[in-house]
Amino acid sequence: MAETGPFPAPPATSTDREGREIVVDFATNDDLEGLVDMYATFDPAQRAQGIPPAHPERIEPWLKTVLDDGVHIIASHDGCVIAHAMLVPDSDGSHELAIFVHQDYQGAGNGRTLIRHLLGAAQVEAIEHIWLTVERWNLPALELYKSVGFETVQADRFDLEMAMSLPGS
Amino acid sequence: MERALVVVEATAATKDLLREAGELATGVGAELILVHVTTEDEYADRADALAKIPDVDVSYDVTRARDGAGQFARDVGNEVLQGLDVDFRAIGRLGDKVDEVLAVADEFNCDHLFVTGRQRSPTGKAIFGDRAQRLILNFNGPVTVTTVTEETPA
Repeated sequence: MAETGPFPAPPATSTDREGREIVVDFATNDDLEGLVDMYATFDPAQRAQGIPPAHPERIEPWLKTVLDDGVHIIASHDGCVIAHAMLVPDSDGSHELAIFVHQDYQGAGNGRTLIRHLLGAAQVEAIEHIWLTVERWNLPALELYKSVGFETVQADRFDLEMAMSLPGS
Repeated sequence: MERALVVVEATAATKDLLREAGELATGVGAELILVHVTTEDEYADRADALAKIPDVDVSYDVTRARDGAGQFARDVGNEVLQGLDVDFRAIGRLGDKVDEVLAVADEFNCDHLFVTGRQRSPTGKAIFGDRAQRLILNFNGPVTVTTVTEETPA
């Protein structure tokens, strides 16, 4: 069954399934360096649809472009960024969601923690419509998106498109 | 690769694509077929625009539209493939961009397609456009799709 919210908003502290203390908060300008470091060691095999960029020198320009607008939250452990989730506005008043969890912190419930707080942040920001695309073989991601209420809206492309509407406040 | 088809659009990305295809073709001694397709809508728009200009003695018809499309492909080819040792033929068609490209590929026994068509979503994801996707699904051979490298629109 999909969760229907309301979702918790950052900041928050939780313990992941490996017993690590994870802090979730909004990203600030000071987090750029920490984000670059996380993406620099991101497993290339887990890149999805061309991001994060494969070339290290292209990570920072990409981050600066997306961080320019929208809602960004990060999860940290021992002061190091271990995950990043974002809602970036498109030209139709909707927001595209993307989420990245460093491979060392996957399988421990951190993706779920992060996306729930991102949706909580979206409710605070009165964002109502969110969409995303996901490679159809990425089953863990698909399950995660479904579990928080995303539904498939476009299935006849290579990448599935999913969307959800958050109840207005 | 013996004979590759390159889909020529009126975009800067097409030139990068064609240059890449040209270098590959030169390396393996392959021939290129450059195709530009004018859609029925584009044709109708242009015919309307020309009809509204008084005293212009130009008859714009299907044949001219097709010739124009071919000339466009030829001009782009001459510009971009200049200096490369590669033979190319330019073809203009009128109709659906995907159907016509597939028809030309079949007529000329092309064994490889080159097309632009991945765009950046707001988060920077590379997403296949409808045309590239239809070509990949319907062409019986390898398809090279390049990503449009423009920065994410604000």
